[in-house]
Amino acid sequence: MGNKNSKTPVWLKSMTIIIVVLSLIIIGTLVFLSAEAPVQVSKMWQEELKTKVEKPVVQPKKKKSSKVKIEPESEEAKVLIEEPEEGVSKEMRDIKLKEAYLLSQLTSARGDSAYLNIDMREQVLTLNIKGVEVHRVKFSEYKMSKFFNSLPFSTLYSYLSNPIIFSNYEATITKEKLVEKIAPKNEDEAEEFVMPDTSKVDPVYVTMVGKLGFEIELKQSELPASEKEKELIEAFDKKENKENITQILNCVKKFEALPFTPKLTLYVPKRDGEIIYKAIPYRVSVNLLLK
Amino acid sequence: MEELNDIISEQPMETSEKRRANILGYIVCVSIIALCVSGVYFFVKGGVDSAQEMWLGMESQKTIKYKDTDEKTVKAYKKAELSVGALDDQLQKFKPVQPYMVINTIENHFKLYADGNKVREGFCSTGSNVLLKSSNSDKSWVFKTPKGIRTVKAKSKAPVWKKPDWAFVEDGQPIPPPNSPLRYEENVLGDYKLELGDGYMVHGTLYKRFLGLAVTHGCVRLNDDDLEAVFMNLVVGSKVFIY
Repeated sequence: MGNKNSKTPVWLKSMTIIIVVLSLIIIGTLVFLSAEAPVQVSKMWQEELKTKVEKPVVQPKKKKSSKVKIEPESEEAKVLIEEPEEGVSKEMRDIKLKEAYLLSQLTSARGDSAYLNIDMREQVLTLNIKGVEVHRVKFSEYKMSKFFNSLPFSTLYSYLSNPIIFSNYEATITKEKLVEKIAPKNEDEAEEFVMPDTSKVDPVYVTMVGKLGFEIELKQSELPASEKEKELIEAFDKKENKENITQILNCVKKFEALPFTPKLTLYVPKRDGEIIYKAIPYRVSVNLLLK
Repeated sequence: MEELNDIISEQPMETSEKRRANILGYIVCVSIIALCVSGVYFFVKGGVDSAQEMWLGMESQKTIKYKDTDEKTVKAYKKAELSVGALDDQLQKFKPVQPYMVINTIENHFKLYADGNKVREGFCSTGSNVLLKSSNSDKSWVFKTPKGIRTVKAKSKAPVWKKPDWAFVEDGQPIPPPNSPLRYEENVLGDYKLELGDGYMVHGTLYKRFLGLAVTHGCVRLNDDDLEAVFMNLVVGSKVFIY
């Protein structure tokens, strides 16, 4: 190319130009449509959580008593902060997020079902029943979408001050595995007891889809131990990728914003992942404390 | 003659240079094509998420510095602090005052708590997750330990086991009438039992080698020492958390 003496075939030159132009158009379109998606999702979240944000509850006049008592269901506890135009200070953000986390936990603790608390500050995931922590997992690695940082603080507070309900799962392991056994017809037929193999654990990859499309992924921190495990993980990932690519192509065809999912991925030990997944109900509440 | 010699000596040079340039041209073109195609491929396959995250990173939330001098902010902060303290107190109230037990059915492991501290832990056996189907009728039984919260309904020493129907079905024996003496068996539940309701119990076992495994019909089996500790600590009304 650039060399005056070179005689690269014309078809190759034109093909290169066509492919480069096409690629630039495709990449440009993808960039444009992908940049648009988070903005649209953010607007949708703000719209969904608007009713709560728009009506700040008027504080009752303080009585002389210095004792502050906040009932979880009282109006005072539901008060949302007024967000100053110039933003929220880091300290204020931290303490209000903590407040939202505790409010949300209180709601979950009132129910009978097991629920999850995710503390991103301590990097701890806990399983709780009725306000009692029954299982604790420390995660060393995680991936968190920057989406939460881009949301207006009042929307974020509103979202996190209530438990986030997850009711849609996809996983590489089964939630409840029942082994079917036909009873013997007589004593002679009574089989010897067959001990179930509880040591075998399939790879643990779990995706939970929650309120407003927020996704939490639990992935095992260990590398796959066998070829079979590797295949299972690849199949799980491939399925997800295939769905994504189809969605992307459909959006490009219609020139719509590409799908965007705010996501949190936690890498937990395999055994803990299994315990958590099997213990949570099909409709689980999650309380999240952001950094 | 000299000119001719020059031409002869220069020609192969020119040809090889041209060839080299051609090859270089091919390589550059093919590389650009490959780069563009792989760029599109990677963008579609996984790059969309990264690109979106990149945009988000650019417009993340504005934060201002906390100023002690700003009275309004200080007031709001202090109020939030009080609120956090009050909410924390409310949450603490959910913790049982009485001793309680936590059972992990996946690992077949238990923990016993008293005064907010873990006082004992060890292996247990929980439900096998077997679905037993009768060969003579449509009846079936699921042997699993129920998850959630249970309360100790009753406690007793030297328990006698009243065998339910499934115990006979499982052994291929005919089911005796409800109060038949054939249903009562001594010395199989250990020294103590704690009833959790709906026929579920925490009791001892003859099959200590199975502790740590999911082999029971739904009850929780413990070894003798652990059972004694649990029996001594838990009272009627104590909570048992199973997950």
